[in-house]
Amino acid sequence: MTPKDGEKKEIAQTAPANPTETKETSNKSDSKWGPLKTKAEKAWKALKEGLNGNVFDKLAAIPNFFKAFFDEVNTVDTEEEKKNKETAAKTGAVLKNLDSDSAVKALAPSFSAKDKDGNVIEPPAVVNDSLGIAWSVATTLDTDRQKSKKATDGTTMGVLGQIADKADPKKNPDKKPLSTDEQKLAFSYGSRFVIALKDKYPDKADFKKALDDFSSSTEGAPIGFHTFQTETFKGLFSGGDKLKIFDPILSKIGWLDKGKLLAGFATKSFTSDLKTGKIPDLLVKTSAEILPNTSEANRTNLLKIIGQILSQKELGSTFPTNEQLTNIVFAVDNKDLRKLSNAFA
Amino acid sequence: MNPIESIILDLLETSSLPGIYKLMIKNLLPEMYREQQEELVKILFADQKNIEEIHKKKMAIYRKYEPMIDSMLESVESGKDASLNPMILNFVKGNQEKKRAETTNLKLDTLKNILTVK
Repeated sequence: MTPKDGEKKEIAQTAPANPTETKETSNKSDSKWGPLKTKAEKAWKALKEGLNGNVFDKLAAIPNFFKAFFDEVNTVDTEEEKKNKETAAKTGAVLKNLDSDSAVKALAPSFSAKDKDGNVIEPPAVVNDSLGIAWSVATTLDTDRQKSKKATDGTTMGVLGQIADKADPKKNPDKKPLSTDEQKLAFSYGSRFVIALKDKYPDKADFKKALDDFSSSTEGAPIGFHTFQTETFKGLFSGGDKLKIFDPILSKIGWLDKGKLLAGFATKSFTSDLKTGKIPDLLVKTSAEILPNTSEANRTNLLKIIGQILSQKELGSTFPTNEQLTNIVFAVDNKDLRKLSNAFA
Repeated sequence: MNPIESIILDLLETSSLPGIYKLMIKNLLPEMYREQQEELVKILFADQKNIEEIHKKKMAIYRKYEPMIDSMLESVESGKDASLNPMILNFVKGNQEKKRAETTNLKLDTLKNILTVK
């Protein structure tokens, strides 16, 4: 018995359209696993073009074969991902009990450069301060999400650890992006981290100096500001379901404005306006609903900086300057940052 | 270094843990409470078991599909019609028969359940 033409077409459609979308695997994967997937992707790519005109393929053999293969691959990859997440969460729950001084002591060597004789150069206070803040923000966010039943104990810590791995070019050579949930958590964590850093350096000039000191002192260290300027880091936010990721923001906007906003971004008209220094009225209006405690002048300024960053990107400078980062951080009211953090959590 | 610490360090390298956790455990291990170390040993042993299980599953898929994918690539390279490749045809037929058998079994089970209830 062979499938009818309609059935054959249906099978062809259910076969993977883009096998590269198979789930990610950890770096610990067996050395044969990655090459096998690459080989299969190559074969599927070479074969799928000729499928429609192939009158001999009565069994839809090729799509059926690849569907079976990629289904099995995805099942194992998903299981591996789930187990790794559980392990990271359990470990996160143990490590969460460490105080921030211990965390700083353990992490500081990775943020310290060495001199030509191989001796560790003592980093400036800002490095240790930032690490202490980063740790306590992570533990607090974990506890808050646990209390609000959004995650179990240690899960948030575990996911943050996995995000850190994805930001490392050595651990993420394929430049895999963050998942939808990871991106939301990164935004939630980032907003809280900014609030805590602003508490430590409430003066704008001091904040900017702290960023300058941090970036210059970690230049030769294994981890530092340079970690955020790699292709790997840029790629982290390229995937995921954007509507789901930004739902906490979009849900604050009325349906009519939301429609206009999505259309404006889809046609890239907002992006090109921002790049030329024009601030679309709709963005000023809708940003008031997202950042209700931030003044119109600050929101407009924020949009201008975003425009600058977008145009810089075309010139090859993909990361905001310390001055721009400081201006962004101080433009947004802390109450709004807190709300954003909770909304994304 | 106590025996628990050395077990943790041995298991840590091959574990699935994020790099930042490995670094922290490595640097803070001597300062951790005994209960924390014991908890970590449990987690890392379970992790090793998971890694082995996943490895076995991956190898089973590798052994099942690798010869067929190679054969298909050979067909492509030599300009032959890959859909007539006997290995692939056998695989698809086998798969279809398996699915048919599964559906039949499911229907029989449902019927059995209905009859038992009645």
